[in-house]
Amino acid sequence: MGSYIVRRLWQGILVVLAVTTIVFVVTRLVGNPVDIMLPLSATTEQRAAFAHQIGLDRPILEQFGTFVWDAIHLDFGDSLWQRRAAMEVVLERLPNTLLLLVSGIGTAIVLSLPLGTIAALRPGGIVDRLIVGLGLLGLSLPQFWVGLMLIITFSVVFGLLPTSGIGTPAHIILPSIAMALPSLARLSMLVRSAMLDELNKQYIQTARAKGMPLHRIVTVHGFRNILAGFLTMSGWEVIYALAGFSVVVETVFAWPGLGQTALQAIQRSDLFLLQAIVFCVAILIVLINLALDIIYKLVDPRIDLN
Amino acid sequence: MSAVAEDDLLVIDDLHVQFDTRAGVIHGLRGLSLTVARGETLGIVGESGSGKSVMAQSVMGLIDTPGEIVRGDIRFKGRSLLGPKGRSYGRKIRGRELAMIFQNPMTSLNPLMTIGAQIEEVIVHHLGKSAREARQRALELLDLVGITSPVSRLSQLPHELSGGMKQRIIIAMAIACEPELLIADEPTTALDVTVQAQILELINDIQKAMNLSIILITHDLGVVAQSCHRVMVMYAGKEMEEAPVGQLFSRPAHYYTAGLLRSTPRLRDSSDRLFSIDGAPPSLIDPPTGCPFFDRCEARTEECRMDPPAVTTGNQAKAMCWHV
Ligand SMILES: Nc1ncnc2c1ncn2[C@@H]1O[C@H](COP(=O)(O)OP(=O)(O)OP(=O)(O)O)[C@@H](O)[C@H]1O
Ligand SMILES: [Mg+2]
Repeated sequence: MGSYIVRRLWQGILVVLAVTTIVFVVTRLVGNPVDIMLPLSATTEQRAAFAHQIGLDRPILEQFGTFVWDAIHLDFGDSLWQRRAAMEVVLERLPNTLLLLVSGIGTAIVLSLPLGTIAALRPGGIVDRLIVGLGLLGLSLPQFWVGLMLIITFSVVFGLLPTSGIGTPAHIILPSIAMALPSLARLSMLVRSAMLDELNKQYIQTARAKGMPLHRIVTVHGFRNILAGFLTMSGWEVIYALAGFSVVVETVFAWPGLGQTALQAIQRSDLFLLQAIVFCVAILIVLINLALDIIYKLVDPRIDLN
Repeated sequence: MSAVAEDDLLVIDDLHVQFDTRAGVIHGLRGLSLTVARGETLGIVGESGSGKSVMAQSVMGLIDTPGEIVRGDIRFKGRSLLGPKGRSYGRKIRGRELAMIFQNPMTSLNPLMTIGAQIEEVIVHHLGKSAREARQRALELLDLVGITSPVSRLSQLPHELSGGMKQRIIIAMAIACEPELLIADEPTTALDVTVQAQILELINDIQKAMNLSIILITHDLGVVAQSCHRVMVMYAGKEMEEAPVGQLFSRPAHYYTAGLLRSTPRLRDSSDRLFSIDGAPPSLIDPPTGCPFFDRCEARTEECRMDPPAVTTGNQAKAMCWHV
């Protein structure tokens, strides 16, 4: 186990390096960063000065070396838009996104277990059809539309909750719901089908013949066996959200998270800020993947990690 | 329901089980009756699809939708296992007084629960023992079913054990609360030949030591001869014949039984070509009335189209046939 974690950490570092390289290549070699970042009206002298300032007049290998060295020190240069260190902006926005993830995806994870399980207990029954129906709805409604409907209903019509922004605990309710819905739908359907599969297995018959009560059969026997798959899919929900799916919710609710910031960085051609965001998200995804692998192994010891 | 019924541990009375499938209603059991006395080993034989497992599942309360017990009764120690009252009675006794072991030990254990946890949960649930007492009892049981170094086994997962070992574990779980009736549905079919003999021997030993009643479902007539007191022959969801073991082998009364016996390979007359009964069992969707063996029987006559009588063929022996 220990050596496995070390090996996976190495792999993770390699992945982060690869991502860093790609970010470097894309920003330096595809198009000229100076043209992208400076306004059209900038003079030739201004362009040259800026190119010199960000080191573009150096040999490409040296630029790359400097870039990697700075990246290791979490230095991605200054955000042109915010006029301060790009990483500072990222570290300021990241907690907001994490908060939204924990409350949104967390809600989905917690609720999907009982919902999917209840549906699986009586496949084709009324409760099952209701849950499956709502699940399909949750999957097919666009997130931005759900967000707008939530705002119209709870903020505009009933005036119960703030429309957007951040600050009080009440602010997080609507974005969390919008964030949770598609994940809740996907995870519930997963739990349902995995539990259905499990309950039809022979060992469940054995447990029943042993006289084990239904709640124990479901929550101990069945649950134990779907856990590894469930945790993996839950991890992927977090990864989706981090890798961009939170942009929609953050934008609709003006939630100052990483997704919204990425969008703003793109709109403002703020390459350095964008680099910092991509780097940070890549590291988070690598870490989550590592955690998932370790949890998977703990939950299902049959899996041979080598 | 007189003194005679008191002796019978299990009584199945005119049991009808149906499966409402897309292809049609499958009549899995069509009026099956049987009794198992205390301390008796009853063998059940019959071709694939004759309803042996459905019978076992009915007793264990394992018939789920689309299956349904539509008629008849199952009584354990004189009390019905059907209906709302029967279900709560069943929940109390299953795993405790009434236990079952299944055909495939490879899939019969929870792959992610330790051997210890799977044995101990029965003891804790039914006997209300503490975790420590349950562990102690689990160790005794492993020893009883012939598992070496039981202490380390308790913390192992099923995939670390061989098929024979798993079946021993399953037997240990089944006898954990010293049941009175054990149903074994083809307990050795999935195992290597050498292991088969060991497991059978184990079951026989336990039967004697605990004075268990056993229903032993098998395709292997050799096993029946070795382990059973009485045999019932099933076919197409019905009983064809029952008799004490010696009588069934020496004087089969039903033509189906005779056919089954002839299709068992024997070592001595190797000159014989292997016999098999021509044809196949009837479909259990819209099964024919009369003797279900009609199509394949050499002795069939017109009256066989009507339901055959139960003809007494000896002490505790009868055959459902017009021609005995
Ligand atoms: N869950 C089910 N759904 C539909 N039909 C079923 C189900 N279980 C059993 N049957 C049907 O009931 C009939 C009897 O099956 P059963 O499993 O009892 O046979 P068996 O005597 O145990 O055969 P085998 O020797 O192969 O184990 C078969 O026709 C089978 O198709
Ligand atoms: Mg069977």
